[in-house]
Amino acid sequence: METILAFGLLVGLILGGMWVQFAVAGAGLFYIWLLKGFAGWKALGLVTWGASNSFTLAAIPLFVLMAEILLGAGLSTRLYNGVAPFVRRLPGGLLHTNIAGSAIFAAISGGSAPTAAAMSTVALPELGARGYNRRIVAGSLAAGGTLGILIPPSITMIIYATFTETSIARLFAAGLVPGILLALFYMGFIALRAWINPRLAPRDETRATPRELGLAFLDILPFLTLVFIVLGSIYGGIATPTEAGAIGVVGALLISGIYRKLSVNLLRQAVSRTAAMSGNILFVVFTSMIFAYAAALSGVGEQLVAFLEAAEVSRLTFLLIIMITFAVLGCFMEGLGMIAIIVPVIFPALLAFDIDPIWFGVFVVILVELGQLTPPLGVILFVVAASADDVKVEDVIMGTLPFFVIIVGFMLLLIAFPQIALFFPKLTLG
Amino acid sequence: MTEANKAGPASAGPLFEIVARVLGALTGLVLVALVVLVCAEAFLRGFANISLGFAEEVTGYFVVMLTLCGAALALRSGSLFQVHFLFQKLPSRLQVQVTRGFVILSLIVGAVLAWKGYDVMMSSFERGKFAPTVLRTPLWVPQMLLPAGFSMIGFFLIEQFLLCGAKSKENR
Repeated sequence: METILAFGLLVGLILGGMWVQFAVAGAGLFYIWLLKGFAGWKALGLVTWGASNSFTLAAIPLFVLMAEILLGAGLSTRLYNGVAPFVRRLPGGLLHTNIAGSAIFAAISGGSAPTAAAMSTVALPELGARGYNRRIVAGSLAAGGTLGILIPPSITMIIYATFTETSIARLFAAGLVPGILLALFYMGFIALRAWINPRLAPRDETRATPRELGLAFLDILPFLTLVFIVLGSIYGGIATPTEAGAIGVVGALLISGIYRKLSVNLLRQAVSRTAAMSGNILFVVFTSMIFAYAAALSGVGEQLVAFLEAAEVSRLTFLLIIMITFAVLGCFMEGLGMIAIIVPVIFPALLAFDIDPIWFGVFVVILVELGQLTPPLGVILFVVAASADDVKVEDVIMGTLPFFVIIVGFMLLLIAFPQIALFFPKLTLG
Repeated sequence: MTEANKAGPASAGPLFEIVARVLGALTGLVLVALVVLVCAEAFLRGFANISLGFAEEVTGYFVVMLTLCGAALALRSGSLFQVHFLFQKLPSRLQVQVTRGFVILSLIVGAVLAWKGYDVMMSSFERGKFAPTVLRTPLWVPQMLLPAGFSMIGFFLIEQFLLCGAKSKENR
């Protein structure tokens, strides 16, 4: 009963428009009060201190800063132009640049919004002028943007790891293959649609000369090097994810410097934006720890396990229920908050169903991707729509629908073949 | 009182502006220090097999500061996560009242968390607790960040309350 009341209050406050972090903390305090009275608040200081005083969480501001520097330096244009000559002759032409460019940017950015913003600001005006169908352009950019949280480094994965005490390095390794596969599925779909209806994406038949390809590769090379250093240092066991984030910041500064984009103003803006953005994210984690503490006090996780066992719910049914729950919650809750609140409650059930927490981390991140494409709160939809004056949110939603179906299909594939996510961490980390 | 525009967030007066600037500068410095510290630890360990020994501990304190000061800055800049689609359907007068209610509720939540943070800090002080690290930091010193950070968030919540008052007058 206490759990239902607390969740009810939480949903009510969030839907009413209260700041999500305060809604979560308020509902958490109420939850503890229902369970233990005011005496239950006694340990709050220690709980919040323990939650925020964390070396692991330092990776979040570092990865945000790395992406902000690259974004502020306007280097996404260079990345976009570098990818274009390699894919423009494929059916779907430059639409593939949206996906491939997003996938590369995702590997140097921890989130979806920076990835979508980086590609959309360049691609929307460029492809609009070339007569590409507006909806499919917007849809591919939104779908490509969601790769930001699946392809490591991923802030969403860091938060999942914080609440489940799983290895961030393993999660990062587990996200890589599904991220690349999903990008290939998107590109396959684009090629098919353009092959059926070539007017959607006018193809550039000009064959790239070796010199053009060489110059284009030089444009991508610094990004690939940064990806190699950041991810390679983690997978190679040389650096922790937090250290890799700091090295990534230095790498981003070097790249911006090489392209003569580095300035005091750029740094000031990147630091200022990072401070507010990471404060926002870290505060979600901070307040969610209060809610997670309350959930642990109530024993709701164990009650859920007992209920599922009594109802003889199968593993597949459980995962489908989780998919539906996240899809519904994703309509009005921010992805990070969703993970921070739901995952601690369902974690005992995962263990009872013998579900690998690393695999589930990837599964949950893809669910959050879906939430980012679901109106009315799908943040990526708004990021893409805000990148050009002539693109409406409705266009982005309509353009995203087929990609939404691809993501759902991919999740079912992931349930059927968990090795898609688990093979690479085993290969690299043992 | 000024409305939010491209020049910066809405402000309830120069005092709030000054505090926000100082806090922004301080948070920026902590972020830069974080990059330097973690990088130094990674390079020293990787190339010279030397560990600073205190990097992990100090990084944790930096994260606490970035969490609370960053949240205060995000609150002021209007970027703290919010769900608006139902709220925006309300008449503007009701929006002001609802926002006021949420600000008061948030102030209560912040006050409880500041109070509990203060308790932890005082408990560490009275018991003479030290961090079990090479620095042997008296724990009450970094734990001061909890009540201080929530006071800062509370300060900007008061600004939001004042801004609500200004909006309410405009609506009349």
